[in-house]
Amino acid sequence: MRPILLHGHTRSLTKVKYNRDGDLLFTVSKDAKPNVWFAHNGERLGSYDGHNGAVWDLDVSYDSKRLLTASADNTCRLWGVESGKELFRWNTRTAVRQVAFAQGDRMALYVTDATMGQPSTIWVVAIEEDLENQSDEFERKIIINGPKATVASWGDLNKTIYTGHEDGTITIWDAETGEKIKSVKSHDSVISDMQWAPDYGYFITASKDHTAKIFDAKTLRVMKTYTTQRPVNSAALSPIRPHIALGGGQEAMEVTQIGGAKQGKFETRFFHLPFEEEIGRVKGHFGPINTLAFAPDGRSFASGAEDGFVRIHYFDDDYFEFNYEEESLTA
Amino acid sequence: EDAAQTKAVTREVLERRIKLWNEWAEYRNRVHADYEAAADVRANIWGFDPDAKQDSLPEESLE
Repeated sequence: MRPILLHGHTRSLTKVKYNRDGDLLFTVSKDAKPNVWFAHNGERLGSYDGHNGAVWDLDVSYDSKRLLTASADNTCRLWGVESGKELFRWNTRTAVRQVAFAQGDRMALYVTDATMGQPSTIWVVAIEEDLENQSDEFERKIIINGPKATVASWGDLNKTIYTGHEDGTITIWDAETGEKIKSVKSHDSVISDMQWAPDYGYFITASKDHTAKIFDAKTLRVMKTYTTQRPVNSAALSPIRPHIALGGGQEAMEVTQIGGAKQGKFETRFFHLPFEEEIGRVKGHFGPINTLAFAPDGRSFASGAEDGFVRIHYFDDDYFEFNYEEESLTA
Repeated sequence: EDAAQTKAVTREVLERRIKLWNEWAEYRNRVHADYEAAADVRANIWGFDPDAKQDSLPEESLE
């Protein structure tokens, strides 16, 4: 499994995300400059210049024409993917932590941080096809009274919004009314990532409590738990195999110079989803892995780390041939 | 004795995996059926079928 190394960021990665077709990989980092790359060879197509602070999150539209970014410079920005031009900007009072297009790409949400006396807040905005009609007014504002949201995404059919919080709580909100529908505390520490199954039936969370968990979307029942020895920063579900990938490691400040990668265990770890058993590891990064994503065709994955590098790994053929005997013995 | 114990553990593990695999398969089928039942609503949101087969990548990109 020879990796493609993407070196274009000067600071630690915060998010990597493929477009729907899987031919483009979008990356954001603390260096304030989002990048887009060809996924098949790691060639950089370009960057999006304008942010003045760390960029925490991104989302790309279904047709790969528009990009949303969330930044610590108190803005959420909409970009033209091909032109690299900033199309619109939402100015906020605090850092923007999360951003996500709704299904249909006609709405989006962004989440602002709880700082400087401002509560953590979910903002739902309309995304106009014609930019002349684009407004910075919000459609809905959901104030989170309690621990701040660290991750957020839309539920199926845009009826709900899911948030993960710094105390390990997961909450479902009614996207129409802003009412809290359900809340459970199933992690013991910060939830650092949340990624959905393609059919929105379940999702996986990563947490600083050293675990990743799969939750049923309707009931928030914990279906599976994957335990490691280090904080888990990102967790991803394979779209084609019953596997998950976990990335994490120690906090950068806790890793000594000597010992480095070995001490920190900076590996992407793969687990069999139903069996909760580890099936493999991929080494390479020299710092904690902050973000992971499977390509939509499941043939590769990308990882972004504290070391400022993005790595794309294409799986060898034997990965696709590997099966537990039990998988063929059962229905 | 050791061999017998290993065999017992292996059998136990095997049975556990079969149980977990079947439970997960049943759950996945149920979840996916719910998703497919809402296909019309989803198509209405998007204005087209978002689950249409993805465009395949050029062959050379998979090498």
